[in-house]
Amino acid sequence: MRKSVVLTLTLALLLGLSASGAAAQEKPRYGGVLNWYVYADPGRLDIHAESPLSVQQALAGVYSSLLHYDPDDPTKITGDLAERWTVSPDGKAYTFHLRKGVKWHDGQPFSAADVKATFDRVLNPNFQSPRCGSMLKPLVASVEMLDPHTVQFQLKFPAAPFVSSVASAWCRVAAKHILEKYGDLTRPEAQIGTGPFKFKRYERDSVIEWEKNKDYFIPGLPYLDGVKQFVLKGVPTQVAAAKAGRIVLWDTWPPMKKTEADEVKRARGEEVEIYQSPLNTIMLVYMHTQKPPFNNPDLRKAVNLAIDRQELVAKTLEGAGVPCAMLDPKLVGDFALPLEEVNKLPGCRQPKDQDIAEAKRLVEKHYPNGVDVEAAVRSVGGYIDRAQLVLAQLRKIGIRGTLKTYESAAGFAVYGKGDFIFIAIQDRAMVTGDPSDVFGLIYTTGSGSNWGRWSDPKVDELADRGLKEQNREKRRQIYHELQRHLLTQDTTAVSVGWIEGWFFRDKRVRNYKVSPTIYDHNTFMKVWLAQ
Amino acid sequence: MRKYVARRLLLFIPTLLGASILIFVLMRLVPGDIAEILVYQTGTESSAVQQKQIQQIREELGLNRPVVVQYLAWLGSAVRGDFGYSYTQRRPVTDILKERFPRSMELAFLTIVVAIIWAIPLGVISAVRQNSWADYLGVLILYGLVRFFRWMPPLEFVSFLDNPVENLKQLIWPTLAQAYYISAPITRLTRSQMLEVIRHDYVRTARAKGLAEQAVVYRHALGNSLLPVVTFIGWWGGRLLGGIVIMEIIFSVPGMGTALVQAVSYRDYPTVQAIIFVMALVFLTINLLVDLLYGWLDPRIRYA
Repeated sequence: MRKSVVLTLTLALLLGLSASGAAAQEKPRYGGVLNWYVYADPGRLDIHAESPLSVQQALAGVYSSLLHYDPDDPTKITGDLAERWTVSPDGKAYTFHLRKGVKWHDGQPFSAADVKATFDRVLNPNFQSPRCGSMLKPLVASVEMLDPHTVQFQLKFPAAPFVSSVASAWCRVAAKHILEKYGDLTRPEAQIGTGPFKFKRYERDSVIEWEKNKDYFIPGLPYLDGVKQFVLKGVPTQVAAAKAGRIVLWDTWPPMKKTEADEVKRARGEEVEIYQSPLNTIMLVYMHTQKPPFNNPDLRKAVNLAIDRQELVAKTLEGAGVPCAMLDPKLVGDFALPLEEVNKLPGCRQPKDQDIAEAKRLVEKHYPNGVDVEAAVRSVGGYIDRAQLVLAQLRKIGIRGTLKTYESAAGFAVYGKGDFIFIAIQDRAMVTGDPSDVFGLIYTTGSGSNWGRWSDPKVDELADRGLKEQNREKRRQIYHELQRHLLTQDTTAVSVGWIEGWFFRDKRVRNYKVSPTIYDHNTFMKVWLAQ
Repeated sequence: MRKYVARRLLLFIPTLLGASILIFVLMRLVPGDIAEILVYQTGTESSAVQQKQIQQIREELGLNRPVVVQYLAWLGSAVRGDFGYSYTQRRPVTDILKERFPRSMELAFLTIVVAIIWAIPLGVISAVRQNSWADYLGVLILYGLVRFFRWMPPLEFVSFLDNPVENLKQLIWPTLAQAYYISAPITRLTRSQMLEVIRHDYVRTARAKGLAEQAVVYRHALGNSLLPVVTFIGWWGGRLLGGIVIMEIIFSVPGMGTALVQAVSYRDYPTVQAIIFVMALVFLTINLLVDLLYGWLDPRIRYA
């Protein structure tokens, strides 16, 4: 796991955060308010029950977790509310020893009862918990309080992704007395955490403000007096705020385009650092495997051969991405199949002539005059541009697509219900840095984003083994086999590649570290502002 | 006059009913309801769990009931001033309206005032001094302001009552942008009306009897040119509400527009219904005011 994450951030750290080495030797400065932005209004603030990044961002510094990605070195997972943890020899029992003397923001003492109340809530089968719950429900059998400072998780089987799931920023620990008082964590007044910042103010559609928690359990932290997030919904407004220096950080969704990054660089010059970084998000083309023409494996295979991933990444992402890969080596290290091997596989190899000829033959075999399909796409971000390029590529093999656009949220409903034949392009973001994420999310039978209703017993079997395998090397081999299988099969979802984006950081922002997922680096626990 | 106003007010009822039915039907014709949207957008849980969750939310919100029953239930509560509960914001819709309505109205009011202050004199000047540089002055000044004014308005909304200066520092930009947009047609209309009126015999008579040019233009010609302009402004008042949605997003103003966009995309039916209802009410009120203004501007209408 650690090794997998080591490579995760190498590029981002090298490219963008070169100042952090120098910053490590500087004496941190106390004070100042860090201003940045959130792309949408979070609306409902229950971190266990909601899923948008905007909710995570609104609350990241307010709560603590049992474990977290180390703020000094996000390639490691370390204790947060847990001082240390032990694993039973059979790998099925995890015991967490909690910090003593921790207080909630309202002054109440923190104890193991809060941890049990939190995870009992998240694991309740009747409670909708799309992030933390969906990760832990398949893995955890029960949570027991051994004494006021010790909790034990009993797993259903020795599960490799358990630690990274518990460390996810979606699995924050909430106060038992607050849950009892309000029933849920939706309201602003229910945001009582143990984190470095207190939830100070929430002006809907305008601003979210945190203030320093002077009783934070790590003495001397945080350095900042507060954090302010402006709700900026339009890209022109976001870029204008960056150019005018109203925000000092852009490390959230959506990333900037290269042209926007250049604009910010021109306006702010040497004051800012521009960097390219992975988003832990995969770009896919979906086919419905139970509806014609893609219920025919030959047609799915043809699409897999015809899609030019390199062209799509080069033209629509301005080259910011890793084409073809089923797992990104920058994110999961050697769990990913080496790119040299991936780029030689049919469908991925260049030049495309041979694959296009074969794809054309497969389509002509069943549809001598070609075939018309309706191609669904969500009309947000750059999806329509990307979709048009996909359709242009498929026209070469006799698949004539017509775009049908859906507004953002409604599009997901259409996909979820399976009311489509072909999805011309769609991204999916991962929640942890674990290699199992992408398979459990998209490819296993009945998984939440297996929109094309695909089922392959071999995929299910390998994904299950990957989840349970404790030996790292054996686990690596399982995932390699799974990737080879998926990259050469007539699957429901063609992996176009892993997306990267452009971000900026004002050079006054120090000790800011990028973590393996976009959800996990926003607590600002150790971040400080230079003068 | 009172009878006229009362009759017009009574006409509000069928219009508002029609608008509410229309939006109710339209919202249910577009794909996806709030339950599907909330559950499917994550796509992280198994499809069996997703189905269960969708049913849970639908039951909680009463979306499983027949549409007519849902509408009548909504209407029953709405006439008592209860617009229901927003599932996306987790608070009563009336709270959202109380918070957002004054902000959007402030923006709309400022826009109309700025547009009128700017456009009508400009129209008059460009008619009186036809074919001169003044024709293009307004466009040039506004273009220059937008193009060269490098200052970024505040990103955080402050109420006018708390701090008028900060409030206007943020709202002046969407106001100018909108006012600029609507002032062009108002200017043109004022100009063409003035050009027509200024050639009438009674204007020549006014000049002939030795009245000052200012009195001729503003007292005699302008008043008679304004009727179509007032009609136009009334009609634009409605369109303005649509434009404000965009302005609020661009300039980060947390008004009704931003709330409406979010509510529509999440199919938050009660919030959409309430905001549209209020917008329709505002539109009808503007039109009524315009009609009353006719009477004031033109005595022939008042006494008819």
